[in-house]
Amino acid sequence: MRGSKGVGAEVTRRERVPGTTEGSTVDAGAGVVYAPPHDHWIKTLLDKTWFLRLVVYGALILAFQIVAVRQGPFFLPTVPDVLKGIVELFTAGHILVLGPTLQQLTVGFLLAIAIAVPMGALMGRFGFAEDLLAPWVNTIYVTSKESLLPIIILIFGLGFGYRVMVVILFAIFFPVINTAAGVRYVERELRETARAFATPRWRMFTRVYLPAAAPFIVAGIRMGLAMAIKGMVIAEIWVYIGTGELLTAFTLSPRRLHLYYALAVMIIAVAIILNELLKVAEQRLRPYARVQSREAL
Amino acid sequence: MKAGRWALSVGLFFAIWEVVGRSGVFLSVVPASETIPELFHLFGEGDILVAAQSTLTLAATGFLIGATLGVAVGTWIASSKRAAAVLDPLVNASFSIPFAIFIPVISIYFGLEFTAKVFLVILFNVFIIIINTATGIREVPSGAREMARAFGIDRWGMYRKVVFPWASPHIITGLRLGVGRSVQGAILADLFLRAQALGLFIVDAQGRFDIPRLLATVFFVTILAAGVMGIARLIEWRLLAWKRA
Repeated sequence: MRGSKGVGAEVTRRERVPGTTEGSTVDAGAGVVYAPPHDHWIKTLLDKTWFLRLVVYGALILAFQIVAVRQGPFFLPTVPDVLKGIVELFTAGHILVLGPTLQQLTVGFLLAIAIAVPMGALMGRFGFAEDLLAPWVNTIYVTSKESLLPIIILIFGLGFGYRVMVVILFAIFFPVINTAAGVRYVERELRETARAFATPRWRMFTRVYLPAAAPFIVAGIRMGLAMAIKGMVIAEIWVYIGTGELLTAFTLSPRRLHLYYALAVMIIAVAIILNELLKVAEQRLRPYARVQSREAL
Repeated sequence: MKAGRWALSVGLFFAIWEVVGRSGVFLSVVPASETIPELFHLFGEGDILVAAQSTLTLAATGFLIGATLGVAVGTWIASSKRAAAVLDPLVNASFSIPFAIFIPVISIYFGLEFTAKVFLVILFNVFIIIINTATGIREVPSGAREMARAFGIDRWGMYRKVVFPWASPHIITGLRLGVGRSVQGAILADLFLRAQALGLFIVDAQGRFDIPRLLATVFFVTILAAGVMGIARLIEWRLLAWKRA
């Protein structure tokens, strides 16, 4: 009987005979002439994902355009203006500001991973390291890292060090937590087999724990990257440098909102594309296992 | 054993802070022994408690709106394939979007006051609540739904008696994470939109270069946020007690 309920529901839903009252069902095989499933073409279209997205996203962009035209460029730029703004960012040289921003983002992010993976591996492997570090990792992870900005400025000034430190501060937690979780759940058999072959301690990490935890680690790195970008933006808005300076300047006088939106769209696009690329890497690393989203961590 | 290590961890932190502060390597770090008395001094003045109350009110307002919105949208996404088709990409993208880039324009559309700040808090908390609610509801087994349907349950009863109870662990976890995001968003708003409440305390101490006061305030903010998170975790633990039984 298992599954028959589902099949039955399917049949009653599909075989709605034209002409009968809406919602009344006809028992299949009760002597009624079989009517093939024949939905109206609009209904068929409405079940297509691409069509729904086209309509809704199109409507949103249209609404944006209408508001922009009615309220004027001082309130909202029109969609063509934003597209022109993207070109203008390049031709007017604003885009060059992103050079140092990306450089510091990269340095900070790589440093964060270089610290996070060994730290997470230690926490996952040794209960002592876990107990010692976990209170601080958990506390700073959940609290607002933004409030630490003034202290970082006091220590590192406003230059390279400040932005790199903020990126590390934002990016480090997901890789640490995920690496620790991944190493902690390395299968017992795997560990014992490796030990039976007298694997040295150091090699246990490089050949057993970290490879086994790789999918977790990459997932952590992916989420860390999103956080790194968030940290970068916050750091730069706080002290008006790089993208932060541009974003803020475009909204003040002379107000050039089309440039603001162009830059915002580009930053968001870069963030999303990088995230998707790392997602692909993550799936490659575990073709066998189900990809479990740990974003809700 | 565990408590001992925890105490060791806290002790080590203060010891390192004290040593770094006294060594003078970083001129701008004063040792813990000067910061903690300053914190008690701030408590004595009382203003910081009023500021904390103000920031937490902002967080609570944003949380209530964000939670209502998040649970509603999450339920909608999980129950309608069409809603999911349209909203899923947006919700997924929200994890990568640095919402702080909107800070400069939020003031154009919402001003610098309470409304703008609440908006920012909602941006911070709503997506994690949507995701968790949708995940929870999608995991309600169809068998449970069918059983209820066989007993002639109506739509409202289905949600109230089957779907929400079944999905509650996920929803509650989402709400707990939302609490943390709300506090974070509120502090960000009080720092980056018009500096007020705890944000003003930090900006003010920074402006006057009053380092003990700055460190004491930041320390207080961190402990406060961690405390709120701790309470949220405790409530989650109590609410989900039935699951452990």
